[in-house]
This record gives sequence, structure tokens and C-alpha cells, in this order.
Amino acid sequence: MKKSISRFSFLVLLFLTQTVYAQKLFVEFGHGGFGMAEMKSFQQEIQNQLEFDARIIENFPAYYTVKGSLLFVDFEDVTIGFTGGTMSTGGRVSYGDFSGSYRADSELSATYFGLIGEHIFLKRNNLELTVNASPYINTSTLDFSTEFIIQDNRQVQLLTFVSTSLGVESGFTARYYFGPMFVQAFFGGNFNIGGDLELKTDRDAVLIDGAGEIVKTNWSGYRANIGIGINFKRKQNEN
Amino acid sequence: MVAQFNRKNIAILIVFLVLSCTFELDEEYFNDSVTPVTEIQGISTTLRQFDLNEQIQGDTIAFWTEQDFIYNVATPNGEQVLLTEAFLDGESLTRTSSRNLSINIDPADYGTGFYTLTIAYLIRTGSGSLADISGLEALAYQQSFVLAIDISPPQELSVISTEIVNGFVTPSWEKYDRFNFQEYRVQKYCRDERDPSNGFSTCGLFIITDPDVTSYADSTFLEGAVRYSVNVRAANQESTGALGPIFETRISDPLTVTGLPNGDFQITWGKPTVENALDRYDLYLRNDFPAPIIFQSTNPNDTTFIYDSDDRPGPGFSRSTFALSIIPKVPGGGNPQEFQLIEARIGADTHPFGSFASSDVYNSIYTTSREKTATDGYLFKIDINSLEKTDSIKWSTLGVPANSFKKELFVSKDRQRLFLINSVNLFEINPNDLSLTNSFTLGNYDDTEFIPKVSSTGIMVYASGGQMRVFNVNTGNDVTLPNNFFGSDEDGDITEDGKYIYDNSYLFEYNGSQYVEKSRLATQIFHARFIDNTRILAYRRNAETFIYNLETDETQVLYEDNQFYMDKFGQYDPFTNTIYSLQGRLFNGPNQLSIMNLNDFTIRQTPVSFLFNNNAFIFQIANGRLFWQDGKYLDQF
Repeated sequence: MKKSISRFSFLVLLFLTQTVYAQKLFVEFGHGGFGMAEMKSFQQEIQNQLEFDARIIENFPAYYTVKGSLLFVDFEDVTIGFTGGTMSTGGRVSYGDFSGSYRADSELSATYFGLIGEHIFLKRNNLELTVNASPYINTSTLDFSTEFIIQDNRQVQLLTFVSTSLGVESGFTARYYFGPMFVQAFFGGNFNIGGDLELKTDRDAVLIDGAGEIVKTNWSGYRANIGIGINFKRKQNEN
Repeated sequence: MVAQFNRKNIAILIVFLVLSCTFELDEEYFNDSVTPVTEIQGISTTLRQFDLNEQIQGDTIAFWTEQDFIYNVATPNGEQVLLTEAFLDGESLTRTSSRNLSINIDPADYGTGFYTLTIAYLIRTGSGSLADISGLEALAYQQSFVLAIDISPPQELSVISTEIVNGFVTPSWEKYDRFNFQEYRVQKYCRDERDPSNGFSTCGLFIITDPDVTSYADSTFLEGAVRYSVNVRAANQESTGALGPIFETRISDPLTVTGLPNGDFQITWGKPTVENALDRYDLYLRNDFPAPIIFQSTNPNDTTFIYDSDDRPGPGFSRSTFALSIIPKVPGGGNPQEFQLIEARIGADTHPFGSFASSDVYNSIYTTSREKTATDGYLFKIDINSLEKTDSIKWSTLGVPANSFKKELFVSKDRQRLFLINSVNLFEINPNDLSLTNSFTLGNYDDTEFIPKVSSTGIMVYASGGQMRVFNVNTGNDVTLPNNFFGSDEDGDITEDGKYIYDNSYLFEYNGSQYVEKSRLATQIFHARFIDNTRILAYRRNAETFIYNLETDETQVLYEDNQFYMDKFGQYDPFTNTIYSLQGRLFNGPNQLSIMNLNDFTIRQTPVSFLFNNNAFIFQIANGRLFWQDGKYLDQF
């Protein structure tokens, strides 16, 4: 949690310093789905290896995302700027009975930063419709922890992996102005090529599955956001 | 203002959104269908001795040697045994993660005493819980045994009594009641019955491995004195028990022989006290060698036997010796004292039989023998090679009363003629068919003197009334030589050609009509005889043995000192130039080579005859046994 806050604080400060030249600044809160096929398979392996009846409680589900964008170069109907965001998901294999409990948690989070360009293809009154695309670089962190508790005996193990990957997020945005302020809705998709999960303390070690294949993160999935923003070039009374 | 407000609120909103958009793992799965197991029913355990593969019964284990045990835990549904551990008096001995625990205990490490062997084991509950599956949930059980170790030496045991029980000598002793028992070692001591002063010595050992058996029926003991001690062997150590009381028993009646009117013998003996130990009686007739068994019985009550003396082989029967062996069922350690040999004799211990003569001309030995009734006798002819009887004739057939017959038998010097003489009569017997060819009446032949000698010319010299007489067996002429004959056990001889006669001190020569004195030999000469027609072999008392040539008057000394005693049976063999003599030994030539130790033949009496035939000789011992040179018996006729 602390890592996410610090990373996002950096982005916020970066946005704020660019506001001098900014055209638009908006923040989106949304919901996104994540492919994570290899992570799910990896978690399935964990479950299969356990001699007891452990269950997969969480399997890298879709979850909330946050993204912020600052557009400051305006070419007619095309605006270019920076974008960045964060997202997280996770998986859990869990078992518990009267004698103790076991869980294997995979807490996966990512922060990405990239360019964003949007083309306003419809502008009518206070409404704008845009299509946009954001190539980005993604840094993911997997905190893989196991906890085994039998009566007073508790065994905990934590391994942290990191990965870096590239991707593109693209979609359509509908924006409605209230003076310089606006609200918008975005719907699109995220195409992430995934990255190797390297052990943080030893980057030469990567996470592999039982078949010896490298396990990669994959944040690809739908994205549905809503957000608010400000158009610095627009007057208060402009409609 | 609005912009500032908006920026501030936007920042707050962003932080809020970030915080609220971090994925949280907060759900867990709990399986409430798994419930604790507090007891496992049906667990069974076994403790076995490894070597014997026997299950230990009860909760006390007594031992004294190094033991290997196997402890097994059997669970009803195959529940896993996580740990099995053995403790001896609280200290861990060994442990295993399986259901089979091997335990080795060497008593030498602990010493005599009682110890507690506790075996604790953990069994997985099988509840299916996480702890159970992880091998961390188990139910604990334990089982304890008392170990009794006794490696101390066994105490001494005493023989309580030695008495006859059920017909056997039976020593009984204190029971050894410690569990480290291995065996009772019943040591038997027998007294030397041939020399009781030697005391007792070990004569048997009986080993009993049942600790509850505290007596032993000694089937090896029959007669004599015996005592026992009982040692205990326990924990590989042996105690030495004190000697028990002496037990002594004798056959109540000795072996006795009674002559019956019909000439048979009744032999009786006593029954052994310990009759159940008797295997059999063996009754021997010891006149013969080896002694034949004439009666045998396994019935202890068979204590009388009638021996028909007609069964006895061989000539003559004056003295008989019987021996009884009492043989136990089980020979006791090879102890000769238990082979009881009891002897009994019957009959006169006198000179019983006739004399012997031999002739290489007829290849025969001739001998006389009196019947057991002593009313008649026999003359036997025996083949000198096969020693088989080839002919016989009764004395009565010769017309001579047997009870007065002196039965001297001799051949002429040329071994062509056979004569039989008693105190009154002289008989000439056909050497071939033993028929009577001639008989003469003599005057008082004295059979205590030398055996008459006959030359090839028919001149016989014999002793009568202390004088030497010359009898012509062709004409019946009987002449007394001058001078006194010195009497008993002295020699008289005549040369084969009849020219010379020697009568102990005087030498007579035949001059064509009568014998005249030629010379007088030394008076100290004992025993002299002609070895051919011109030489005489003589022995001088306590001096030399020599040969004197009558023609040349030369003397050849054979032995310069009294190296052997040539008694009246000594013989000279002209073919080998060897002197033979008997005094317990036979001598062969000047080297005194003992060619036969007569002691090997149990001679019981001075030999009475010495017969010579070429390079072989025969001698007789008093009980009728004849021996050939090679020791072969001559009584099978």
C-alpha cells in the first residue's frame, strides 16, 4: 500500500508541475479486467501441489484502477500529453480447519507511465467525443507470501518479484463540460505484452512454473473509467 | 480561488481513489467438515524377541543375555505411526519413525536389577486436518514393561539325597529358581573298585536343561560306590556344588560255581540292587581266549545257569573259570568300574593234562587228555600244519586204567616211534593210526623225573627209584646203570645213535655190549642234553652255558654268565643253532632276542611242555591251552 501511495504521489507532483502548460488535466477512476493467465496457472499449480483441500479464493479478478492524464500540446483536434496510473489484483490459495490454516497470497500491483494522445472527433456544445491511445511502460510488483499456521506454530515466507513491460491502452472517451470543469467516461482496452517476474533480491532469478516456463504478468483487459478534469483553456462561462 | 479549490480537492480525490483502488486479499477458506480425533480404537502392539520370534507375554521380561526385541504397533486402519521410541528408566534408548522399533539391550550395560522399559509411540490421528496431513497432529500412547536382569553368578546347590527311586540310583537336589538358569550339570563320581584307596573320580556327566527337574535317574549305575554333585550353569557362569552323600550297593551274592554229579556246573550270582539299570548279564567261560559268552540274559532274575561241560571245546577239563559281566543299559561315560566283572573258578588247580610230543616225520603233534569224569582219557593226533585233529584213541582202548595212567608221551630221537608210559607200563603206539603196536611192563617208572628218551636203536633211558635205567624197547631188556641218579627234575638223555647216555653227572658210552662210565662231568652242571651224537649242551649253575664235544673234548662257551635260566624245557635247535628256553620269555640265539613275550598270553602256570619241531615250537600252559609259535591256539581238537 505504501509503495502505491509513493508512486502515485510522484505522478501527482509531476502533473502539478506541468499544469503551467497544461490544456487538460483529468483523473479517472475505473474498473479493469486482467488477463493474468500465467499467474492463474501458477496459482493452480500451487493448489494442486497441496495435500490438503485448499481452495483458490481469489484468482486475479478485475479490480479498480486509477489513472491520471495531463494533456498540454494541442494540434487542432489532437491533443498530446502524459498519462500514468496504477492497478492491482491478486490471488489467494487458502485452507483452514480447526488445526490451523494455510494461505498462499499473490499480491500483484502495477504502475505505468506513458504518452497519451486523443483526437476529438465530435465536439458539440458541452460534449466532446474523443478516441485516444496511450503507449506506456509498466512496472509490476508481485508480493508472493505463504503463511502456515498450526496451533502456535506459524511459518511465513515472503518473496517479492518485479517485472517491466510495455503496453498500449486505447478507447473512447465521452466528455461533458461544466465551464472549465468536465466529467468524462472512458471505455477501452489495455494490451499488455507482459514481463518476466524477477526476484527483487536477485534479478537473475525469475519465477517459473512447474513446467519450467517463465511466469509473466499480463495486465491486458477491458477498461471502463469515469473521471473528472479541468480544461485550462476554457473559460468559466464558456459553454 | 476556484482553481485553487479544485486543485486541492482533486488531489484529495486522487489520493482517496488510489487508496481505495488497492486490491485487498481478505477472504479465507475454512473447512468445518474436518473434526478433531481424540481416540484411536483398536491399536494393538507386540513385543517379540528377535531371535526366537516369540511374542513377549505379560509385562515382565526376564533375561540375562543380550537381547534384540522388535516392538510393533498395528493400527486398525493403517494410521501412520509417526514415531516410536524406547526409554529405559526414562532415558532414550532408540527411536524410529516407523511402526517397527528394534531394541537392543545388553545386560552387561546395566547389571542385575529391575528396570522399566517404556515404549512411546505417536500415531497420526487421520482426521484429515491440516496438522494431521502435515504430520503434526498425533495421539501419543505408551506401554511399559518391567525388565528383570540377572547376570549374577548362580549360587551353589546341594545334593539332598541319593537313593533308589523306581529302580535307579537317583540323586536329587535343590531347585535353582532364578530365571538365568541354563542347565544342571550332574557330575558323577565313582570309586575305583580295584583300588578303593584311590577314592572317587569323575565317571559321568549328565546335563539337564529343565530347571524344574531336580532329580536324575542314573541308568548308568549298577554296582559299586557313587556320589554326585550338581553344578548350575546360569548366566554363562557355573557354580560348583558340594559332593553329595555316598551311595554304595553290591550284588548280594558273589558268583559261585558248583560241580554237579553229572559233571555239569551250576553257576549262580546275585541280582543287582539297581535292577532297572541292568541291560544284561554276560557270562563268560574264561578258559578260552577270547572268552566266549556262554549265557546272556536281560532278565535281572536270571541268576542261575547250568553249564554243560560237554559244551566246552578242546581236550581235558580240570579247571574252569567263569566271569560275569553286568552291563548297564547306558554305559556311564566309559567308566570301566561299571562293567562289573566277577570271576569264579572251579576244579583242581593242578597239572591236569597229558604231555605232548611231536614228529616232523609224521607231520603230527600227539597229546593226551583226560575226560572230565577222570575215568578215561584220549590220545590225539594233530596235523602239525593245520592244527586239526586227525585221529584219536581212548586210553581204555589201549587196555590201561585211566586213573593210574601217568600219561607221559614221547617220541624216539629219530622221531620215528611214539611211546606212552605210566608208572608200570610202556606202550608203543603206531604214529600213523594210533594203534597199539607193543607194550611192556616196567618197574616203578617215576614220572616226577625226566621224560624218558629213546634212541633210534630202541634204547630208552628213564628214571626209577633214584637211578637211571636203560630199557631196550626192542627186546624188553631192562638194565640199571651204576651210580646214583640225583633225583627229581634232573635230566637224563641218550644220543640219537644210542652211543652215549648222560645222567646228570656221569657220561656213559656204549662199548658194544653195555654202557660204561666214560667220564664225570662237573657236578655243578644242571640241565644237559645231547644236541647231536657227539655234542652235549650244558648249563652250569650261576655260570656259563656251553657245548661240550665228546669226541674232541672241546668246550664252546655260549654264554659266560647267567644271562638266562635254561630250565628243563629248554631246547636246542641244531638247524638254526638256537637255544630256546622258557622263563617268561623265549630266547632266540646268543642275542637273547625276545621273540615272544609270554605275558601277553596270560600264562597262569608254569609251562609244562615244550615241543620242538624244526624252527617252530609249541608250549603248553596248565589249563590246557596250547600255543603255536605265532600265538595261535591249539585247543580246537
